[in-house]
Amino acid sequence: MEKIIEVENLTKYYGKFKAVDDLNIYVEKGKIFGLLGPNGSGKSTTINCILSLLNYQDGKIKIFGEEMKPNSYNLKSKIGVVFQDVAVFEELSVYDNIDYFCGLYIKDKKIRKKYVEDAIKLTGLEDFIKFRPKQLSGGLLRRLNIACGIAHKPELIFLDEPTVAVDPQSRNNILEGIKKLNKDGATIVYTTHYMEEVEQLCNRIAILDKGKMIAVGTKEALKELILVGEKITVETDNLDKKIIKKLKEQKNIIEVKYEDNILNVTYEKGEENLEEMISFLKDNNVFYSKIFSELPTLNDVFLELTGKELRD
Amino acid sequence: MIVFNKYFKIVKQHLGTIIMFTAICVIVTIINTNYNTQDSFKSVENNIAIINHDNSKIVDNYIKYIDKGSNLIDIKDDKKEFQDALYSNKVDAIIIIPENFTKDLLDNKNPSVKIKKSNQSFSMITELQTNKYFNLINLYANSGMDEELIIENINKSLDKEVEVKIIGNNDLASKAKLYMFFSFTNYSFLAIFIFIIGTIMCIFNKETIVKRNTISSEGLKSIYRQLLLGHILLTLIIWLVYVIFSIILFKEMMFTMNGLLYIIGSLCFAITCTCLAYFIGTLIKKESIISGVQNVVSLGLSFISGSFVDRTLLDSSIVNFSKIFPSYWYIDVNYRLYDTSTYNMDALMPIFKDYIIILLFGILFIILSKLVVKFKRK
Repeated sequence: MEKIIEVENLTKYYGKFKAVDDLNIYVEKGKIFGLLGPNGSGKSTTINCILSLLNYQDGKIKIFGEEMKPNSYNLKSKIGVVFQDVAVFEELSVYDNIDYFCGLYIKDKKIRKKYVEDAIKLTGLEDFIKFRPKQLSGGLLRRLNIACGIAHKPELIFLDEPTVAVDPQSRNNILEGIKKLNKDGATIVYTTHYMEEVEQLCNRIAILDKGKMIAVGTKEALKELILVGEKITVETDNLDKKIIKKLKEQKNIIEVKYEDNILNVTYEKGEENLEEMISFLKDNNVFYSKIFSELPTLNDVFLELTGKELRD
Repeated sequence: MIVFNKYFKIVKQHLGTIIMFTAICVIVTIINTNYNTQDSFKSVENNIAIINHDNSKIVDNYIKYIDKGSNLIDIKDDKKEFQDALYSNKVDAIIIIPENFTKDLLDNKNPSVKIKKSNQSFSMITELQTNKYFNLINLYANSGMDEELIIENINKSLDKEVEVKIIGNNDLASKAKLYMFFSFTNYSFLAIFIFIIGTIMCIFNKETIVKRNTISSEGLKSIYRQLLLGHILLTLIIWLVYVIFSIILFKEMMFTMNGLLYIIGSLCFAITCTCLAYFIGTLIKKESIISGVQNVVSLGLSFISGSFVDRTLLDSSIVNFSKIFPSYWYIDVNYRLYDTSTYNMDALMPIFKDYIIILLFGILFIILSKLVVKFKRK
């Protein structure tokens, strides 16, 4: 598979602070690559280095097989960026904003008009084209921010936390739009600290913490890295201590917790255990109002690898 | 040219402010111009004391004649009193008519009235009026007229009033007005251009916008070039408004060499103001700071360069200091144009030299702006 981005041994300092530490990643053509990590983990710095917006102390960066430099206008024409902070003109309408940023890449008026309309359609802003940014809700503003970044139909798109502070409806719209862009052939680099989004979108994921890459791979491969398996949660009143003790003696169980009438049981990875749990509760005459099972998430992966939650 | 294209859409959003600002500046300029200059003749009324030692109809008629154009003041017939009145400016002139004056006059003995004048230059008028009156009396007396007829004729002659109006291209009052108008544009241009261009530069200098522009394939150089082009076009439009106003106010004067040189000077200064505003715009990030900077720069430069206050009233160290700003040279051009009536090479060379200095300031501001942009990018 063709590699669109290749980053080797990237190291970036802010003064004495090492923001990115010897990072090695690659992104394959047509894939969605996720950069997952808590705030301050070096995701945005990595992207800014790749885009040549920041100087870095060490490492090599290639995009489309070429070294990225500030004056690599040919490379830049194939790239679209949606920054974390909304970057639009308050004085221009939705349409004019998209037209402006698209116009920085596309000179032909007819083609540009079509591209702008496509971007408006993709982001669902058809009803707001004459609105000014101040008149838009937070979610719509984020959608406008995306439309401005992708209107010129780039082959490679960087999306830096595009769903921060966005309502669920707009978030779904944005995620569907990203899937559509990928389906149309764009390679996407997606940074976020929302693990659900990464799990939903990305083919490959790199987990960053304190500027270092602590794991990389598909979500399945990442989950293989940890010991934790299924988690079963049971809502039940007045559970006897003897039963908890008996439960702990069952096979494959790593941890049992009972707090505030909620029983949490963590299993070793491998098998599914819900059926066995229901039988156990029935055999021990334990009545419960709710029972459900969860498979391990990337948050569990992050927790086990770093000892802290993703949203810390 | 997408930046250039959207530039005017952004300007359109600030059009209300721009029109308001331009209108205020133009109105203030016009008011200032009319307030400081007069284009019609105004007669001066002197304070006159007459000591009359000759009781005759001719002298009484003379007193009535003087009273028409002067204020008659009563003072004692005393030498010391005369000196005090003249020294304290209580009177501008004292006319002493000796005894038997009329009789000697009619007998062709050429008597004279004594006139004591103050240092005021217009006290001369009284002397001229008096001489004119009695010369006429002498003329009529020589033709054999009696006292009654002389008075009748002399009143007919002196009752004719002449309306004085200053006309012609070299009219000093109009030249002064023109000078005032263009000198005040020093403030107007600085204020308007710093406000408008500074605001637009702030919009384009927002960190998020700069980031997006930087990663585009357009290139920052091209974007800033288009911005500068937009600024220059906007400058020309606003400058043209001022030129149109100057033509409305001064009509044919603007189609003379003098008017043309004023227009060229204002164009040079408008371009340099744009470059200065562009430079200020590269330094400032917040729109809220713009109006403060605009006031400090436009008012400050207008005061020290002699746009608001005549240079002769300013301290020489202030005037010398102001030479490091383009405003000094713009006011210098306007002053030369006010002072020059014939245009030969000797007169034109210093004016052209000032134009070049003004434009060199513009080039300097652009170089400084480029350095700032380069430094910021690093």
